[in-house]
Amino acid sequence: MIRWKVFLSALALTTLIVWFVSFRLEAWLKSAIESGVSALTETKTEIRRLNLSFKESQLKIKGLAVASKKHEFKNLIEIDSIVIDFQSLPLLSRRFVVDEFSVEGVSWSTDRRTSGWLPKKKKQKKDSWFSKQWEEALSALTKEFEELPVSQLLDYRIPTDPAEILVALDLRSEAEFRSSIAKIQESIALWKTRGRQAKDISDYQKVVGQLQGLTANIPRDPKEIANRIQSANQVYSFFKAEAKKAQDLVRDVQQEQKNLVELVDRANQAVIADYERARKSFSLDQFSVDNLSRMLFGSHWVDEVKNVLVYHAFLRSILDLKSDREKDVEVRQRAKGRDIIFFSPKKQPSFVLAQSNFSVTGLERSGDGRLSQTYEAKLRDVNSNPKLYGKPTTVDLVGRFRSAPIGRAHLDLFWDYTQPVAKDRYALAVEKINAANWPVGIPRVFPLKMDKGSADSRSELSFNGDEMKWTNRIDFSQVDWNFREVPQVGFIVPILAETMQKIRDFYLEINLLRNERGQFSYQVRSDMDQKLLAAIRSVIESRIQQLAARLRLEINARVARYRTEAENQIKSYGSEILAPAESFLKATSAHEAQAAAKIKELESRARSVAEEAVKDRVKDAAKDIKKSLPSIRSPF
Amino acid sequence: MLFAIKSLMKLLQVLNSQTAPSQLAAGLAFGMIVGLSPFFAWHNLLVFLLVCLFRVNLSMFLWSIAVFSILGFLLDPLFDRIGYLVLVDLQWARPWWIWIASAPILPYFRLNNTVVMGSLVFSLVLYLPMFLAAIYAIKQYRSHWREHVAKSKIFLWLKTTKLFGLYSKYQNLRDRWGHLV
Repeated sequence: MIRWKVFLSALALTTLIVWFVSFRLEAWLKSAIESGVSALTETKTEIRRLNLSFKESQLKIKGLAVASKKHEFKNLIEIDSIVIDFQSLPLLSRRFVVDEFSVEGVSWSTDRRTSGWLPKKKKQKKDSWFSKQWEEALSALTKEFEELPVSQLLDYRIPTDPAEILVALDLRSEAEFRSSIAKIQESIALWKTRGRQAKDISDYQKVVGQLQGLTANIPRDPKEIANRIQSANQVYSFFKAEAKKAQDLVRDVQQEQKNLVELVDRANQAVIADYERARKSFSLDQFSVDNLSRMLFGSHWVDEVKNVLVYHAFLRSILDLKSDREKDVEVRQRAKGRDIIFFSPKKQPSFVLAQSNFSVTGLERSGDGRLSQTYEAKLRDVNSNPKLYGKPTTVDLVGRFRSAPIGRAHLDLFWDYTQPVAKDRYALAVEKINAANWPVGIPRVFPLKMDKGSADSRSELSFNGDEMKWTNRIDFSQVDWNFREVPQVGFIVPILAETMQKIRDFYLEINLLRNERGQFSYQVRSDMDQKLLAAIRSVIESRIQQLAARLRLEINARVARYRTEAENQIKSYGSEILAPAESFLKATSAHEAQAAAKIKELESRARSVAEEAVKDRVKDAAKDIKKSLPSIRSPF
Repeated sequence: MLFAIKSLMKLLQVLNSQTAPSQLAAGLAFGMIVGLSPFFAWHNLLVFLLVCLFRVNLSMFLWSIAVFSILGFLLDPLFDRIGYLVLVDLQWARPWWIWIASAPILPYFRLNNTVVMGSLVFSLVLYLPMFLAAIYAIKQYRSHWREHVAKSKIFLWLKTTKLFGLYSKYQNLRDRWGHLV
């Protein structure tokens, strides 16, 4: 039943295969590390030699070179040697426990003989572990920097020729003046026509003559006088009516004149309105770039932000596993199925580096081979599954550089993924950064650089669940700006260049926040903003004021002819319409007064005639009484 | 195509041979375990050793692996569900899985993976029914269907095809050179 021969030969074959696999394990491990790091960096990663010794429980990696993503023939980092001392027994339980970890000979930006770029892969649209919200927020930011007010720096200009503005503006005041002149002329014509239709003045002379006749040779007959008084009253009533008409006429003419003056005033107001409109077409408000530091430094930082967040998201995808707490398991998605990790007191993470302190020295390859870099690292509780391990991880890394773009860097990492809500904190302080290496400027539009100077940077990045706070403060000092590649286009760019030349010390604050609701804010602030804006504004304002004065003159010159014409027409109205109306009123009033005086004269005459007649009749009556009375003797 | 015809002919030859139905059935059932599981699962090595140890028909075993691999690929989502059910939802089995995950060597079998566990459980459950059903089916074939198949139009048509001619020539050549070797 049992085929021992076949079984034994198969067992021997299997053993041979296992031995061969273990013999090839180094090659397989080397390839796995290379492809793993390449997948992370998206560039070529090479290991010169890898030695795995189970006897010594040691893994040695010699000549690890990670290619740069930016420069095709440069390495991002090259490490001479990495030595990992591990425990052998946990390997049987599929655990990699590191006792000691050390690195030797770190070099940055070394040359490569072959290209370090991987063949371009066709991008596949797949769910990324880099949050969709982040991708949207960062692409919105990138878009903002592509579109934004950068164009203002080039395109913003203040016109030099006022006529150019007025052509586009279509002056309303001109039309207003033309319209008012037409209306005044029309009104004058209308009133003249009405004046011609009014009663002829000779009629008044005739009536005045009659009135004169009534007071000449006044008869003694009261009846006759009464008739004359009646006639005089009729004349008076006539002139009174005419005077009333004249008053109405003068009032109407005056009202009309008031209306016409108002029309001219409105035209004058339109001149002011035109000026204001013209003024607005080149106002300072259009220049809304009040956060120039965001334009100069912000876009470069966004690239760095993306890199950091991608790596952080990657870290989270590894460490902050999707957990099914009710069932005390964690689920890790795999290409095929899911790996279930059980929580139990016995279960330990598959990778643990409990404690390691080491220092690394680095050589400047491109220089004279002198020792130029030293790194001190303190690693605590680095592990592959913090929830199983139960302790937060800390990494403290200090680097000192002699001839590098930075002087000293201190990186302090803390991540606590042991709880359901993951917390991370990263603090990086870098001193004496060569300012020349700090990316600045707006490509093509304002590609300025920093030639000299240094910067000290402090950066704190913390995550609490989905909340994020990233604050950066960079203090630049003794900066020499390089404007050689800046195109002298428009007038803002030269002002900017001129002003920045004077700013040698400044700070830059870059804050990136994300709240638990996923709302995202990105702020870039600098004390240079106010200085730049003030300089630009003062130049713009002085140019605007000059232009405004010229514009006012130009508008006034354009409407001057119409304004004079309108004023003359108003004067004509006064002399041709209002003055005759007033003299007419004067005449009628005088005639009315004259008629009233004549009536008085006639009435006075009538009174005296009546008195005389009464006296005569009394005398006659007294004579008659004397005759009829008996004579009475006087007792004396 | 030649490979498919070759496999089919080989299968018919094996079925028509004097090999015990239990050996063929064991080959089919063991092949099912390997075919349904992800190929590079370590338990497949144990199955292979068992196949070598017992009198199991290797041709049927390899043929079974090929057929069940295709089926296994299609059934992956089902295995994922079964694996999750076994590993997570079956609380009483939890100590076993924790022990396997912590014990030496065993973690390399990746039994904490839902597809590995699901496919293994699925194939182990079906092992005995498949073994018994295969014995019954082979016996039925040999007593009732062998002649029908040999005389069937499809089989005769297959024998007249050029590909079968090529296969026959290849087989003759192999036999001749095989003897020499």
